[in-house]
Amino acid sequence: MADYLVIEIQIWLFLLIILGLVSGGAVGAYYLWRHLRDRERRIAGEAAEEAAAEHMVRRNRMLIRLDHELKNPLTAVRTSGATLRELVRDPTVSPQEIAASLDAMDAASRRVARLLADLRRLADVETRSIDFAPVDMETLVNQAVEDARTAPGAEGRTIVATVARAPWRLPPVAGEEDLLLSAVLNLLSNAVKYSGPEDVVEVRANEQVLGDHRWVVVEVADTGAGIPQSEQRAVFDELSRGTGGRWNCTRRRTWAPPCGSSSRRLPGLQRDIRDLLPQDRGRCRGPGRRRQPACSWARPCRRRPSSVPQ
Amino acid sequence: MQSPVGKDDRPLVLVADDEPSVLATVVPFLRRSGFRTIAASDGLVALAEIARHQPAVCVLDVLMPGADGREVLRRLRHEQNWVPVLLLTQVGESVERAMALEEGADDYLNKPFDPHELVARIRAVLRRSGRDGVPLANAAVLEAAHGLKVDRVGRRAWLGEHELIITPKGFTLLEYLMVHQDELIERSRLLEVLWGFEDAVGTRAVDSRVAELRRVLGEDPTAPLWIETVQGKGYRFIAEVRGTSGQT
Repeated sequence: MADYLVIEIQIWLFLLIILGLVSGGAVGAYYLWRHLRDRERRIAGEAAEEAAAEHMVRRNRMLIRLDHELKNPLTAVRTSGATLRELVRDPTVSPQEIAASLDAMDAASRRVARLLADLRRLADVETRSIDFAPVDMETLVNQAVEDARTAPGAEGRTIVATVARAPWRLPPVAGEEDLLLSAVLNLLSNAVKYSGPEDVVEVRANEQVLGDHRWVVVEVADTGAGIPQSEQRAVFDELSRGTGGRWNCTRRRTWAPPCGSSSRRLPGLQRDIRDLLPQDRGRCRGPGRRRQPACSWARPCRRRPSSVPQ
Repeated sequence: MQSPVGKDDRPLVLVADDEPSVLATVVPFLRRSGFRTIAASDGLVALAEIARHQPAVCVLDVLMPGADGREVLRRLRHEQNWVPVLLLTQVGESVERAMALEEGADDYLNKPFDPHELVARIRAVLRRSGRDGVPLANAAVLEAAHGLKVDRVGRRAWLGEHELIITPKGFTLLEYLMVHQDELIERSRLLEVLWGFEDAVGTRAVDSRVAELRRVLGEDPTAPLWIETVQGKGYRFIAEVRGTSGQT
């Protein structure tokens, strides 16, 4: 009896211990799960806060730049208006003087219009899908140089394009042609802005293997004043001084930033900026136009293996 | 780059801005307003032109390649060149405004400005620069009639032997009015200078600071010795002001 009782008590204890262990394990697992969940939530929350703060900083920077880009043409418009008001009261004024003020006002208002178009484009590029298609960079670079040569303010500068043809022609790049043209043209405008009449601006396009990837590298370099170090960080921002919104729009959405853009820093001043364009191979290559969101393009671009045939 | 300088009594104004549209419009406007002009497209060119032509006033944009407006100003003051400088600053940059005045700019304007305002400021700066002694904008100590003395470096003020207790905003207002002695300063301008407001969102703040100064100075507004109210417009510092370097 005593033995039986002892055994019964032991089973009871054993069951109790098992139950306790199971309950303890369950409670422990619950708390562990809750801790992990809370940690995940906290990390996600912190990341979201960081992203929101970053977004706010970017937005504020863009507003400051917008203010900066608008103030010069508006100053020109106001001054031309004041000049015209005085000229029309003066009977001795020649039509040429009036025409000069009207031209200045016209040019300034066009610049404001262009800025607004950039803003529209910025909003558009942020939201829409990109029409990816193979783009011949040789034609595009030559077109950009041709446009830059005839742009106002480019007088006297020597603008040359060097596009690699040997040992083979540049492979096509996947992107949207007008956005790519806009990006290269914008870099050229920047080079023109920061250089003088006797300076040389060079656009060089060639194929390079960087890291594990093959790239079409487009470089814009000039012998001008360069971009001060203090402004170099902001040079790729939206509506940044000189470079403008079109460059940034295209950089952000035509190809992915980590594989899409780079700059070469020279001591003190930056005179050379280059775009790295993923070649139109692998997933992005196709016989016809392929429409896909820019973000999905970014991933295959980053992970593209280096086994592309030489 | 330069309009005829020759033998001419008209004041020579240097305008430095890297923005061609600004130069192309502001320079002819100044010429029509009775000034001779030199245009410079960046800070280094501006420094060279200033050394060559010794203009009566310089109008410098803050953002320029080569050397920006503030750098040009610093180099000029470092060389003991007291040519009056008017800086064209960015809208909304209150820090920039404060720095502009502290670094020895005689005045500043925000873009986009009314060109008539620019002409008025250039004329005011020219009037001020015609005096003897250290230019008021660069003087460490300002001494006004009736025993008022302001130490701009130490941020202290005295009336005779008695040190005045003034709030920082009140001090900046007094300093600004003294530097712009005998000029009508509109309330909206004071609001912009002291608080950074672009539009007249209410000028009570300015009026209360002026009231504070009058209280501290013991001034009767109906018979002012220093700060005169110009009805419906603003204020004018009417007492004579002399600038000194503060070294005895």
